[in-house]
Amino acid sequence: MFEGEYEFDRTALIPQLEALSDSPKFGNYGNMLEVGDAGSTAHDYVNQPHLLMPEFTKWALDRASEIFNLWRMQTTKAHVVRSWVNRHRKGGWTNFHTHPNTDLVVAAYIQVPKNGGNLLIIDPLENHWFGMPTTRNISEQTGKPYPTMNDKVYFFAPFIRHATEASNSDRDRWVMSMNINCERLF
Amino acid sequence: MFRGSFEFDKDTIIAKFNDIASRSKNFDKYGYGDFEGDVGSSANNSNHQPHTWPELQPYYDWILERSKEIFKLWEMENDPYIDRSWINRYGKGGVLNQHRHANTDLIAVSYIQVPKNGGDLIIVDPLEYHWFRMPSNNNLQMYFGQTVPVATNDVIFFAGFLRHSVEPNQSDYYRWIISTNIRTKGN
Repeated sequence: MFEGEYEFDRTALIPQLEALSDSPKFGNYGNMLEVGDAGSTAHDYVNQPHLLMPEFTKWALDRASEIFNLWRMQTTKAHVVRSWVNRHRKGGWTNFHTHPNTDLVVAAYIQVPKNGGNLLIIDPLENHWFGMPTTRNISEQTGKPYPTMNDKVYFFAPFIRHATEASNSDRDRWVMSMNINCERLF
Repeated sequence: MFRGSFEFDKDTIIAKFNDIASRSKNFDKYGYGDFEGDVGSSANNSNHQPHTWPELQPYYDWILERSKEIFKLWEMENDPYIDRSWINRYGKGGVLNQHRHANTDLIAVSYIQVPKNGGDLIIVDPLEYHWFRMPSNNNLQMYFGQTVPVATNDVIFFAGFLRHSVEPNQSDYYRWIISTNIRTKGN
């Protein structure tokens, strides 16, 4: 798990994200992934939000290359596979999920109001710990909270199961997700 | 994975090891293909467990204190106890293949004598299946594991589920270790 910070221009960006969310493709993705007043542009393969943010995308790809180097990937040349935004309104959340067929996940917190909900991460060793008499196995059921706030960016491996807490704010919470791959040599 | 150091009275302990190895009929290989080459182990014999020896009580008191600290980090509330222990002797070319310690919370391996080129500990990443589909060169290394250098008086602690092995001893001298399985009360 890696974290960074990027200063988003919310004044310019959020109206554009709101326009994306006006699309009929905005809604629940997968089987009950978004719950309550939450929606995603993940069905919209054309209007991908990273295309609105070339500078951020470049910054994120540079960070991805550093991570791929640490992970000893075949190449450090990173590219965006796809991106989408999630909007969580009061009571809305995204259930636990992984990002299949991806090398790296980016969660960029464009706007997180107070009480907007944290990121929840499940230890990928959960099944190994399961047989041990540790109270971790109780907290592991609901994940470990990672704090979210405006401009926070998390990078993590795609096999890490994660979710969001419900937003308890009257203001919208906007998160952009990006799937990044490294260039394959074979 | 945790690393510590304990100053063993090597001469006394190895003399006792040699005595056990020469008197015990089943000081031999253990498991199904775990050991290869010139290797002997007291794991077959529950009468010669090092944690019951008076001369090793200071070491085992120390082990239990360290285990308590580790269990606290792992959010395990109950006190540790020694489940079983044994000694391994590796002659030239002796190898211990990849294995885990089933039904154990914590493993402590103490290196009583590691000659030069005596072989290091090898640990396999427990996330190997998660990484497997990623185009990472780590997947090549993962077959063999990651080398953890060890020296005389080192003590390495790690979770019972970690797959591990030992490189072959390339020295003319024996490599002696004590392996200990530690559990928590109440499980």
